[in-house]
Amino acid sequence: MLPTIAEDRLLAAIYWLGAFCTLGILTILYAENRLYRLLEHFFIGLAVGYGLFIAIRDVLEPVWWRAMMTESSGVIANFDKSPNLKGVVLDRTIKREGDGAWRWSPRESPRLLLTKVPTDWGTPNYLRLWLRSDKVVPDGMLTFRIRLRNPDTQKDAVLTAQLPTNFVGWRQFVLDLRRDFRITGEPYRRFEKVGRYRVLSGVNALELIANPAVQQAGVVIHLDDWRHCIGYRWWWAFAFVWGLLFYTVLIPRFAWMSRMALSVLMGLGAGYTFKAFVLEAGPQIYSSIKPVLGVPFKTAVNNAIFVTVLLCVMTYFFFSIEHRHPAIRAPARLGRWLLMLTFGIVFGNTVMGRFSLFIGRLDFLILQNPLTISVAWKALLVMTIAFALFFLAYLSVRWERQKRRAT
Amino acid sequence: MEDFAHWLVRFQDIDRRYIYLAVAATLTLPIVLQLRMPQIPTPPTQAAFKAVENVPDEKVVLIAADFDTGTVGENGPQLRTVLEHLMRRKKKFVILSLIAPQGVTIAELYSRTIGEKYGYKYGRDYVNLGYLPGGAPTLERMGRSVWETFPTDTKRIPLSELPMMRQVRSAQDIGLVAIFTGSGVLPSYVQTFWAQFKVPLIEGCTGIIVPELFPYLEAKQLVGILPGLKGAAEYEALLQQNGLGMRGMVAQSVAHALVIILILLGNLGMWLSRRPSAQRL
Repeated sequence: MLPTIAEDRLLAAIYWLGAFCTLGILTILYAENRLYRLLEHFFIGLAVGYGLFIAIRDVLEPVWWRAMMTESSGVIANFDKSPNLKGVVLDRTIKREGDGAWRWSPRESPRLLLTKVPTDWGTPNYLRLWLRSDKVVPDGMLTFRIRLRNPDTQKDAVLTAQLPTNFVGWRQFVLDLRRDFRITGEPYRRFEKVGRYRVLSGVNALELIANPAVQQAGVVIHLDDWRHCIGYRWWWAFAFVWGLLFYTVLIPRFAWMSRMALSVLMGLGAGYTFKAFVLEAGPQIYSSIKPVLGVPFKTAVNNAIFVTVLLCVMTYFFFSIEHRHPAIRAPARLGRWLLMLTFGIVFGNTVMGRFSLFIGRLDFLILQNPLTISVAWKALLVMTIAFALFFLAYLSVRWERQKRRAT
Repeated sequence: MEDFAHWLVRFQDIDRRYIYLAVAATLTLPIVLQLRMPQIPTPPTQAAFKAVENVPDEKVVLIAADFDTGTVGENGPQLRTVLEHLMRRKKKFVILSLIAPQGVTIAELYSRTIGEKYGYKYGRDYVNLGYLPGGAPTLERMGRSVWETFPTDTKRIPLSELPMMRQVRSAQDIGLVAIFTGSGVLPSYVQTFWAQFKVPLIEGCTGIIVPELFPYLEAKQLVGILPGLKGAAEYEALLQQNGLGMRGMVAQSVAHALVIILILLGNLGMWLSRRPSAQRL
């Protein structure tokens, strides 16, 4: 068994490990050395391992594997608790799963109303309902209703299905939401009514009504384990096959197959890029056309500068005509200067970015130090460790030089 | 004067490690002395602040933590201050990342630590949807149905079981997208959330990509920007908060002054060394 460590001690250990690694990486500022290389490999390995773990845990497993291998079901009702309804009791002996099932006598209470059900069902395609009948009622029928209030339209909707009672014992009803239900009103949220899945939300009640034949037959119905399911999305298996095609590039005989996968990906990319260009660059081009006249003076000056810069920079990149004529050469030259000005700004911002990274590390090293001493002492402590590590780096560099000289 | 000119010429051959040391010292001293300087918020930061203020109460904010530890020095303070703002105004938020698995972990850590102060509870006030690659198509799908795109959160809890997510189904339920990144992930959000779903965007970016963002700001595709650490400091000033942005800006400014002086001295030295009389130096 692993020893238990107090949380504050663990956090302190993490801090000091972080501080050691940060300062060790910074020894590159002296020279390339073994300590730096060791920690660099440590960081790269950590990042790759973490990335791989997240890719499996957050992407492949829930989005791909579970979609293929599970029904992605959600519980509507498990009937494990005693109902407070007329004509219904909890039966702990006859059940499908869990602690029990509900024993319903339609003769006593022909209409069963369940109001304590989850309101949000996600994006189900079908329902799985377990029912048990103790005798066959040939012309018997149970009407199953889902009542909901659509959050978008704020109007009620009802989904109705018929369940025949021509069976004895447990039977699983699989009810397709699109095929087996008669729909009154609009149950799905408008915005999500795209593609295969639709969200059912605002469910406020489920209803089960026995027809006169069932009531008169004196049949007893058991209810257990009701679920809404998305279903097995087996077609995701093709994604795996398609992904494998990329690796055929490693086998010269089958390398042509990789081009198939690549060409589809390129086609998708090209199509999406076209749409992306219109959506992204279109508004920017439109906003580049600015009025210089008929606007307040300040705006006019601003707009004039904007338009001048735009035209000059575009002229610089206009290679269809040789830049010999003064009308082309002068704005092109100005365009080049303006570009260099922009690169200067980018460089300045880069310097600022690098300083910010260092400031972030200083904040970690000095101000987030868990020791209860003054900031000055914390800084002194960090400087001492830094000095020791830089000395180690110096020794490492010297040793490598000596080794090189010897060989 | 002659000595100074001589020194300037020789200064060009200075070992770069002395410069590193000087920069490290100028960055460290203001941090240790905990100096502060006033910040005047620029219009892009003010606009970002206003956009957060204007998020309707019934809608959530989408926090796109598309950064990793490499840019946490800039994106970290930005995200912290925006989260602080959201929590002060009791706004709910959803965290996700398209390109950086570490980003969502960092964002959740910040949410937890800041949230303790404001009584924020996971699942009720904020949710971490995690990392899902795929760029614009993923966002487009998410905009149409959040539940389809993210079956569970990072803790494997189905979204239907998270009280907050019952109200968050599509882009219609998102009032603002706040992107924090050091990469060019913005186009994906512009093409989807801005262009298709009409959700306003703000971005906290690293200093290096600030110039690239101004066309987006000009076209109103971005409502506001938090440019680098300065953006974080300005936002903190608007929030009257004393965070890492404010702490870092003195160090940033002093170090910038040092760099400018070094550039001037270096150029002066180079100019002096090229003069004919410099051959004698």
